[in-house]
Amino acid sequence: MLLRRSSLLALALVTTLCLAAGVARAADVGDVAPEFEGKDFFNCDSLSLKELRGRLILFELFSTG
Amino acid sequence: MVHLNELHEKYGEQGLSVVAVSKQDRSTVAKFIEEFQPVYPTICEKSDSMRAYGRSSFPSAFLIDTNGRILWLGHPGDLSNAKIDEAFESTKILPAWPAAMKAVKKAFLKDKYADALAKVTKEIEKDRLEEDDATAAAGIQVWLEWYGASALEGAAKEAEEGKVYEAATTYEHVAQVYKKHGLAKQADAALKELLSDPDHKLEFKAGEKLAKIMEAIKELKPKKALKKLGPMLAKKYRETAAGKKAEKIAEALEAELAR
Repeated sequence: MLLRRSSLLALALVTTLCLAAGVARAADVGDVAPEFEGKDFFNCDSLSLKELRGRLILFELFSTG
Repeated sequence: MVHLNELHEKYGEQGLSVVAVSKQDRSTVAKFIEEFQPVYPTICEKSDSMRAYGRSSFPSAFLIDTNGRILWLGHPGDLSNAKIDEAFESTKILPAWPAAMKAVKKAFLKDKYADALAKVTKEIEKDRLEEDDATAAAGIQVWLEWYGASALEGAAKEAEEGKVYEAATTYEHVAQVYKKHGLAKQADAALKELLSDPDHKLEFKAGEKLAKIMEAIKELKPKKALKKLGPMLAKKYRETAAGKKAEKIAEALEAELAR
């Protein structure tokens, strides 16, 4: 149990560090929004940011966990 | 989610597209959809947008303008209606593409705005479109003409504000997408004039160099990223906007290394 908890803490630390490594190079206001590649689509057919060009887009990155 | 549903309902017809993307698998996202009933497009991605956008916490939201640039970023709950209203006031929305405009859309998505404009103008002149399609075609024509002129105006303003790299890349973009059109000639001439100043030329070169480095270090660990960033910290670029930005990035990377 303790080992599992330590592993989880280590994993959390590694994840935090990996994500932190990206923060310095984070997309900012004025930057071109990076495109995403969809795999499964709900409430739409295949979709990309490029296809929505000409509209305002509210783009959200989410996780349920 | 409720907030995004509300924004979709309130602004969708006006021209706001709400899109939610998750790295999670289909079944997890499907359960989420069943529970929260989002009415907007919700997508499981192959790509890794959290990394591409350099974000560290969920949820993260981005308001993106009509040409794909980030206008605002933060927690979706912090996005005010006032900010969205402001975004609408400063732009023009491209009408939805009718099926009859398939060839025009294809040219547009290939970044051939001048071709798209020529095609839509030809369709309008033929005068054979159904009423709704004709209205959409007229709107598309107006948008394509407005966009280039507006981008040139924006670039001139950026140049005046000293944002040389931003202005120059906008001129380059207009010259590229409106190739063989009068707008491209205007953009080329404005770029030439802007870069005739040696200081501006250095600003532009520094900006280009930093953009390339930023692309190259996206996936690198801080130590390697810092090394790649090295040339941007040279005396030559120190006083440029890109040099100053590079210095801040280097400080952040050093802080990451020290942690």
